[in-house]
Amino acid sequence: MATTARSGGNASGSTAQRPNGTQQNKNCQFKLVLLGESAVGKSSLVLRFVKGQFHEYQESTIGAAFLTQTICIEDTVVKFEIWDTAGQERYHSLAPMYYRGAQAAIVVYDIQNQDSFQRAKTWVKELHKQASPNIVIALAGNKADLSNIRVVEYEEAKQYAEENGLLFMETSAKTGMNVNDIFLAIAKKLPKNDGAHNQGAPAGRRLNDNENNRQTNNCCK
Amino acid sequence: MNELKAPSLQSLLESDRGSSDSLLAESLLDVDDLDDVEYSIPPSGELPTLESALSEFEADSDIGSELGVPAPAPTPTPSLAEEGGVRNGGAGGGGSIMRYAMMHGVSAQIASAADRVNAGFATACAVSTLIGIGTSHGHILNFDITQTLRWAHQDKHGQGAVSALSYNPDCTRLLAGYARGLVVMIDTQSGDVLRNLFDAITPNTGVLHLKWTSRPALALCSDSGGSVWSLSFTRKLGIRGCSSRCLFSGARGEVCTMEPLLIDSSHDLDQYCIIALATLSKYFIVTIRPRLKVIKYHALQGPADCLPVLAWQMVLIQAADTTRSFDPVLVVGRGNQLFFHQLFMANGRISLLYLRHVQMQTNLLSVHWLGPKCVACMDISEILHLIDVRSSKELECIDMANAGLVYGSAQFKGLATGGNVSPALALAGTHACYNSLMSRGTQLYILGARSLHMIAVRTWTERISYLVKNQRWQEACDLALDGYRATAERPRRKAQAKERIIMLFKEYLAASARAPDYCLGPIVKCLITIGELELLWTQLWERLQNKSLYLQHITEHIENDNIHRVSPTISQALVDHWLEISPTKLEEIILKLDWTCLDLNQVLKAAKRYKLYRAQIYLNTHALNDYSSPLTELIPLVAQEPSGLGNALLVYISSCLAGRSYPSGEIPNDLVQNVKHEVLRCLTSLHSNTSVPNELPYPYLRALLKFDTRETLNVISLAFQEKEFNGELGFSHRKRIINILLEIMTPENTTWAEIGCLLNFIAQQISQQCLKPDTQLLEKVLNHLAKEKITNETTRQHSERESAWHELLINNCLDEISTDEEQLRLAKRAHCYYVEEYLLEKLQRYDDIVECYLNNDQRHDTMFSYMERHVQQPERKIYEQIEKHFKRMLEINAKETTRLVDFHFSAKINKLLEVLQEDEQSLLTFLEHLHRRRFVLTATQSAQLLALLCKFKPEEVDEFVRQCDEYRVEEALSLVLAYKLNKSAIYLYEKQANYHNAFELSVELLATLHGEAAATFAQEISDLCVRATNVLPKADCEKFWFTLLQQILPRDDLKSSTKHMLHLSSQYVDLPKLVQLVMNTRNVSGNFGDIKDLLMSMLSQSRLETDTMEKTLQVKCQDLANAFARKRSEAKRGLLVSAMRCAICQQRLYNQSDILVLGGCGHAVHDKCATTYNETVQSRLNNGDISQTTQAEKDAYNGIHVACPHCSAEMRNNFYNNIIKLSEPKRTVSALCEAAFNIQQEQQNVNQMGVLKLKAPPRKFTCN
Repeated sequence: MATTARSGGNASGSTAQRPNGTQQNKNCQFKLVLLGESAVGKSSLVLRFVKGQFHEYQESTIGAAFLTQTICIEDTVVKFEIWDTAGQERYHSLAPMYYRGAQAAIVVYDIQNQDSFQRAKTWVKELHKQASPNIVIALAGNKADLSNIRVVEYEEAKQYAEENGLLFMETSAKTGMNVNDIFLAIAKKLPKNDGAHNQGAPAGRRLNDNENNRQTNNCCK
Repeated sequence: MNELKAPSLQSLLESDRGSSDSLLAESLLDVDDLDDVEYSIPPSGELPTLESALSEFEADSDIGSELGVPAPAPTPTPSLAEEGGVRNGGAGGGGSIMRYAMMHGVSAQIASAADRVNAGFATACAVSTLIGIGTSHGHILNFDITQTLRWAHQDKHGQGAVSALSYNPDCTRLLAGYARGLVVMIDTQSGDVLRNLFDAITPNTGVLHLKWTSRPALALCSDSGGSVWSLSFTRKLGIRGCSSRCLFSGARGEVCTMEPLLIDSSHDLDQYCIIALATLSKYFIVTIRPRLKVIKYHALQGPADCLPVLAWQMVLIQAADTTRSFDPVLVVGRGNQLFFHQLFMANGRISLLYLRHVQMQTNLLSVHWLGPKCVACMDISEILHLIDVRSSKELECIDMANAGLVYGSAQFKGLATGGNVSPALALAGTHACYNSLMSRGTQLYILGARSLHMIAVRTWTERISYLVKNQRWQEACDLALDGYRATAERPRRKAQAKERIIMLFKEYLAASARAPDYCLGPIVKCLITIGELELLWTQLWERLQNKSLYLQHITEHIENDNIHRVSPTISQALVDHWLEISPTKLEEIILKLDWTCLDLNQVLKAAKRYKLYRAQIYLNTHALNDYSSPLTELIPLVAQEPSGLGNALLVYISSCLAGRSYPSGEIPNDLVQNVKHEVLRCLTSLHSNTSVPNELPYPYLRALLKFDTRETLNVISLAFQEKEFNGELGFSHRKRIINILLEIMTPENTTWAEIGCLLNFIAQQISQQCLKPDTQLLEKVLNHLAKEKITNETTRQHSERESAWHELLINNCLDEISTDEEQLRLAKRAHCYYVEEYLLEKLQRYDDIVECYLNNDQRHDTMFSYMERHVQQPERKIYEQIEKHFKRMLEINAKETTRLVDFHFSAKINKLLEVLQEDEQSLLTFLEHLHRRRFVLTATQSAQLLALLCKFKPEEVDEFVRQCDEYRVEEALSLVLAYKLNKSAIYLYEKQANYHNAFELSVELLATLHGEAAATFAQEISDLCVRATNVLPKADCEKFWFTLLQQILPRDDLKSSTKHMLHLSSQYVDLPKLVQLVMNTRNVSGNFGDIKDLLMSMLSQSRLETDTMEKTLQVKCQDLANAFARKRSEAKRGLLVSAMRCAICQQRLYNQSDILVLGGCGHAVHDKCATTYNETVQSRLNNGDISQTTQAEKDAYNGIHVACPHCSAEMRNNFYNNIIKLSEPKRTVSALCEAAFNIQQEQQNVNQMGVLKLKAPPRKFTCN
């Protein structure tokens, strides 16, 4: 008989045992930060992803907003803790606080706005320089529904992304185009099994838990 | 496990191991037919092991299965359920500390042995890695660790019950003692008897105790005679032997109990073999190896029916000086007392140190250590108490009455050996249970007649598990936290404790899945205390349906500063939660939280919406490092919002300018400069960001000034103390700010009070040399300061104005624009007396300084100290000023003024009085105060004062005339009479000794008075009468009294004092007259009651007088009788005549004539001769022949001092006047005299003087 006393996993990245004890889903928790020029649609993108909503006149974000969303990839439950930073220049100083320790970042630009693309490039540079080396960066060209009046060409952005090892998609928060896909792509790219992507402490604890489980199993025989 | 399977009882009985054949032979049972099910014999092979029984969480629980312990198959034996079997109770532990379990396997075997082979009930037990049980019919059952019966042994020698059992330390040998004295050694492996010792102890006694010592082949045995024997086992040439030696004889006090100290080899004491012994009156600590020696003994008192109890335990002792030692501790108990002693080696000697004393409620049966921290005591009502030794507190108690404890009374009473024990031991043995309670480690075994029970002390972990199992989460959490805190600074144990708490948390999660809110608080507290916040944010949070309780708990912890961070998810929920309930509370929480865990977008928007300005400021400054936007956003709101915002902003500005962050802490060093600059820039910006077309300049500063000018200026002046505002640049900053302030505060849109604040502020700045004086500014300031009148100016504002001006003057800031004279004029005009005074002082124009003080209401007190200070300096002209302002000074403080004048200018009082002459009121005040200061007034002054008093304060006249003596009485009297102040007049009359007038006036006055006043006054009149008695003749007095009484008696309102008055008067007047008066004046109802006392006192007085008379007579008679008796006794005294001849005629004395003995000298004369001699002397005196008369003769004549004519020896006076003639029988007298003479002759030479002294007074003898 399986142990019933032990249910639920540990903190981030630990395993959970379902009551039936056969199927074991992994639980992953990732910190994701959205960066980009103001009014490129960061908040809209997140809102679309988390709540499936879109507001034509989205209020501008102050400081940073926090949201969570959980998705399933194969047998892994991925929980995103999303920090949607404010794009205004005055909040720039806050950004390091949020991308420090983040496992993933989405840099957003507006395809109608060349400046926002340039700003995105600076963000990418800053991330490469300051953020954790394993960070997964995605570049999102937002407002793709308005591609008829685009300024930033798809190819240009694509090329830039490839050069810098970024995930790239053109998205539209309004239509929902590519929104889930870009998050899924990030989730897939994020490492889920080894402890490398996580901080040291939770990984160590998980190993212990595995040991315990094994012992318990032996005892039950 | 097959090899462990115990042989069945049958096989044991049939085997040749042990000696059970006789038992089999006598057994009436058909062993073959024994049916386990029918007789409820548990299947012995499947019993849980002892170890598992001791370590599993609960007997009969299914937790055992979780631990992988194979569960026992259900047994038909009804288990002694915990709830039904014992009543749990007790103090702190809540029943979680002690664990009770019944040893089912052992109990079943005991019962079956008793039932089937007639083994009798259990009487003794021994517990080591094996369990041994002895029975009343001499059977010994030996069980192994799994409670399996290994062998049984039956005594064949008819030695009665097994009274003591003991395993040796390595558990290879079992010693068993019997009630009739046999000691048997058995091999524990096989059950074979190795030694039978029939004569090891005193013959005809039973074994009470058997104990192995720390030496392998040495055991101790005590018998019911109270002796202790050492048993040394030998094996010489393969033959087992035993030598027994008596260590203590019971003749000198019977040893009731003994306890060897078993010690591991690492301790200093291991070279010794130590035992503790206790008799009914003492206890001893004794070494028996290497040699027998008593280390210590001590008296042990207690109730007669209580046995002493002993127990050893190795304890880690931490001394006061933090040294630690691991030493044996002995607990000695008797009655309800427990004493703890530490045994240790010091300088090569073994010493015993008293540690502590514990007093229990009831008397004790036994004491056993359960681990080094607790002691278990069974009391006489069979309740087991668990005592924590360090705190001396009872942790828990458990009622063991159901265990059916076996008592060893039979052994102590020696029933098996004919009862040959001392009565004391037999009485004490009533409660003996030494061999039925055994401890091992933290377990205590309790032997019942048919069962064996175990009590174990749970460890911390086990207690938590127990509480968890019973769903007592609150207690479990508290206990867990206690344990966690107790680990203090030991990291390894802390980690273990933490792990246990995490386990507890998981158990909680599993157990409370259906009611996730249940006992949430303690769990949250646990997690926060151990710092496992991740669990709190994820696992606990996610499973909750209703989050509000959780949020409440978290809020509590935030408010108590236990946590400063929460996860963003929780913080979002927290903000939403409190926004609904109380936004104010939310603000408090936000201020306490680390901003990095907050969703800034959410919080800032909420703060704006709900006007949480402080939170807004906090987040703007901390998170965004934006110090100016709070100002630009909030200052415009100041006017519409409640004052809280304005005040918060002022605090914020002040702290920013001082380099502190809001609401607490410091601004990081690298930011301070920027922040200060930015805040200042923002405050002094000419236009706001959202510049409205017709905006007035400096909107921010203006709004703040409008909100509260004074406080804003205070903030600025505080800021000016920072280093940024010092130095050349700083001063220019100041200048700029002040200019801005002046620009903002124009009379058109601000009140004068506010401008006053500003100008005072500027004046301060100028006088502190912080601002370049600038003529224009100064004039502006001075203009304000010197304003003659400002409408609605409060006292505070005025004094601020004055002090600002004063500051300016002190620092000579006004020199450039005006002169002191000018200033003086201005100050006078503006009523700034303080300034005026300062200027006068400066100009040395002292004449008017006092006037400044006088004009300034606040400084009246200082005026007097000023005058006091300078009174000695003539140039200050103090006196002149006093004279000038004397009247006002008297009005202000007459007392102080008078004191000053009296003290320093007493010579000039008359002058001052003159000054006051026309103002009678002031004069009166001055004179009055002079009088109160005991200043001696002249007669005129007194008269004047009296006159004024009569005029203005007639009620004080009376007091004055009584106190003062200086006035002339006649004048005063006429004055007083003129003002009809009768009381004073009466006093003055009396002072004049004019009692008649005084009395008449009094009586008149009394007639006008009524009620209480009349009564009091009547009393005064009577006092006056009493005083008059001493002066006036009696008749006058009587007249007074009668007049008074005539007045008083008829009046109804004076009835209360009538009696007293009558009583008083009766001392001074004739009583009969008084009675008559009373009878006559009692006009209406001649009440007998009123005069009753009077009559009574008359009667009693008369009786008293009669008594006195009688007594006097008696005394007189007594005196007379005494005098007579004295005379008579004198007369009766014998006389000694030393001469044979008359001293005058020189003839023989005894010649039939009367003789006169002169006494004293012993000479005698004839009566006739004496007469003649007398006449001769008299005639000689009469003839005036004075020259011939000797002095003695003169004396004789005068009859005062009479001398003997022969020797001139002095005689008693009045001799000639009081001659007593006695008629005595001649013969007798002569015989007497002759006898006396003879004696005298014989002794004359020897003691003439002595004889002379014995002479009697002169006496005359008459011969008839």
